[in-house]
Amino acid sequence: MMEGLSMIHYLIVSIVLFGISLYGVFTRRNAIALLLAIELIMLAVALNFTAATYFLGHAGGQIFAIFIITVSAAEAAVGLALVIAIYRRQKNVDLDQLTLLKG
Amino acid sequence: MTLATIGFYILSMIAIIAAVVTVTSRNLLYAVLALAVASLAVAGLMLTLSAEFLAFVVILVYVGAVVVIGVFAVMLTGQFKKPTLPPSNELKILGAGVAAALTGILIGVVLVQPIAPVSAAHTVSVQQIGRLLLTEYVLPFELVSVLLLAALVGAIVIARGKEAQ
Repeated sequence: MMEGLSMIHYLIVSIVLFGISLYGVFTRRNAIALLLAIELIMLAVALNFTAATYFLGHAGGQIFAIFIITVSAAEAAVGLALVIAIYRRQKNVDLDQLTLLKG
Repeated sequence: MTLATIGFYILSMIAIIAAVVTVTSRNLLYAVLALAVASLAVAGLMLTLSAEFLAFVVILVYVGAVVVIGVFAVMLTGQFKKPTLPPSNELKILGAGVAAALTGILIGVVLVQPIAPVSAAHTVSVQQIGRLLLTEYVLPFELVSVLLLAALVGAIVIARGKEAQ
């Protein structure tokens, strides 16, 4: 049923997704855009774990993909709440202007 | 070319293009919506891996929760009016270089490292997932429940501000 595809195909897709979102983490200035890139990283890793379950036959991969998705949802909720709190205080969410802790 | 193979290539293309839009779009709202498209494509890839439960969890959590929270954050911070600031130039080149190098290294490792050939495709049923979550993986399951509760309370406390207290 899957003769054309191996685990390597899925791993490469998830690595490419990871690399793209890593570029986003490096270059984004807006806090919301940065959080989106981090969510994308989590998604790529969850895909990786799912592929491991399918091709290597250990159910732990899917279980931990569920945990990764849960943690990323929690992180999104707290992160975006922080963004809103920062916006209320500073009226922008650009990361290079968050210098409150600078002496 | 079977249906799963064709689906894999199409969904991979959609996921990668949507990911590029997510990290490069100047309009933040487009970036959030591109994340929804990328999540749907990854859910489709999980379907080709016979992980139906996980695919629907991804759709539910990412498209249903993360993207909606993202849209709310964009609206509440007024970011939809102006395009996001462009990243600084030297950081753009350096970031792209580091990300490309890491991607290259990881792909090289995957291609060089021998992976055990598959005898048969392994599928995990929802029953198995539920049983494993409450037996073998019960400790991380409970920990992640506590984490979710903490995130829920924390998000409310952080976001509601001073005037509500």
